[in-house]
Amino acid sequence: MRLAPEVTTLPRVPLADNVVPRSEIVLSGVPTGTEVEGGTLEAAVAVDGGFLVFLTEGVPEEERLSIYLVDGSGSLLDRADIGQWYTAAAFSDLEIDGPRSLRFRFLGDGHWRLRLLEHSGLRLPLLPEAPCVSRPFGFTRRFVLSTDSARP
Amino acid sequence: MANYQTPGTLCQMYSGRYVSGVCQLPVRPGPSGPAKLEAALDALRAEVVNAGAHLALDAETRKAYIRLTAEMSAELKQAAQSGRMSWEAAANEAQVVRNAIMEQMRARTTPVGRALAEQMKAEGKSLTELVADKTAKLFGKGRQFDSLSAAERDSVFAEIVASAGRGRPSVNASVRVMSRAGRGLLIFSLAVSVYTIATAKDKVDAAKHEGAVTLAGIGGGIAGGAAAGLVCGPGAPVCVTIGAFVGGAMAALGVDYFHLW
Repeated sequence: MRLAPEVTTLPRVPLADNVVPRSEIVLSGVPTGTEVEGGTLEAAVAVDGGFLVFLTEGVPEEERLSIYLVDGSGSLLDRADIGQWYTAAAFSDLEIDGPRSLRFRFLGDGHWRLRLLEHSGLRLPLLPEAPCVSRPFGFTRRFVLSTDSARP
Repeated sequence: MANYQTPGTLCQMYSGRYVSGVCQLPVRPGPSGPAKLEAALDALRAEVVNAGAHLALDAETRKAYIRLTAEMSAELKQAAQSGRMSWEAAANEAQVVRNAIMEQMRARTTPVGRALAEQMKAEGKSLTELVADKTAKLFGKGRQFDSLSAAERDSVFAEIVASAGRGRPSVNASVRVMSRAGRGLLIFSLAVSVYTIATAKDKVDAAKHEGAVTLAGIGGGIAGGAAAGLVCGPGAPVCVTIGAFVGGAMAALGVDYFHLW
C-alpha cells in the first residue's frame, strides 16, 4: 500500500442542498468513466491491482465518508460508507500500517481500520460490520472496516 | 405446606375453589381460533402503524432540522452582508447554534432514530477545526488560515455560515424515502381501520377497538424502544428496534387481552 497522488477526481454533480455530489475517478490524468458519490477527494491509496479512494460529501457538520475500491482501470470493486446523522465528522490522520491495512480518523474519538482482503469475503446484507457503516445490498466484500471508537 | 381454611384474596378474585388447602382455579376456555387470528392481525397492524409512525416522526424532525438550520444560516449571512456583524462572529454563531440545533433534534427523534444518531460519541466540531477544514478545501491543503488575506479569511467564514445551513444531502434523500414510506404505512393502516369499522355490526365498538389498537401500536412502540434504550444503553439501534417492535406487538395484544376499549 502507498499513497496514490495519481488518483484525482473530476466534479460531475456539485454539492447542493438536496443533491448528493458526484465525482468521476481519474487515474494518471485519464478519466475512467467511473462516477461515484462524494464531492471532496480526501485521499487515495494504491493497493495490489487497484486503488482505494476516499471521498467526503462536503458537509462537515454531518459528514459521510465513502470508500471505493477500484481496479487498475477504475472499475468499481467494492464500496462502503461511514456516517451518522446529526453528527459532525472529519477525515484525518491516514496511516498505512501494514501491507493490507491502514487506519484513519473520521467519526468518533478513536481510529477506524480498513483491512483489505486477499479474496472476496462473505458478508450479510443489511448487517453492518461496524457501527455507522453502510454498504450497498450484496453478499461479498473486498475490504473490512472496524473501529475502536464505538460506544461500549 | 400450610393448610389454610379460607381462600386467599387472589383465589377469591379468580373464583377459585378451595379444596384441601389448595386453590383450584376454574378451567377457562382459551381464545378460539378466530379470536387468536384477530389478535394476531391486530398485532400485525399495530406493527405497521408503529413502523409508519417512527418513519413519519423522524422525517418530520429532519424537516424541522433542515428548516431551522437554513433559517439560521440565512439570517447570519444577511447580518454579515449588511455589516451588522463580522463574518467571523457570524461563523462562530452559526457553529454554536448549529450544534445546539443538532442536540435538540437528536432529542426529538424517536428512540430508534436517537439510537442511530448516538452509535458514536457525538461531538460538534469546533470553529478552529472548521476553519482548518474549509481553508484546506477552498485554498488547498498547503495553505494555513493565518497566511490568508482578510478577504480570503472572510470567504472561509462565509463558507462556514453557508455550510451550517446545509443538511447532508444523502441523509435528506433517505429521509424523503422514509417520509413517503411512513405516510404510506399510516394511510394503509387507516384504510384497513376504515374498512373494519364500515363492515362491523357494532360500528362504535369497532371504532373504539381500532383507535385503541392504533394508539397501542404507536405508544407501545415508542415506549418499548425507550425501555430498550435504557436497558441496552445509548447508541444500540438493533436493540432499540427490537424493543420498539416488541413494545408495539405487546401493547396491541394487551388491548385485546384486557379489552381496553
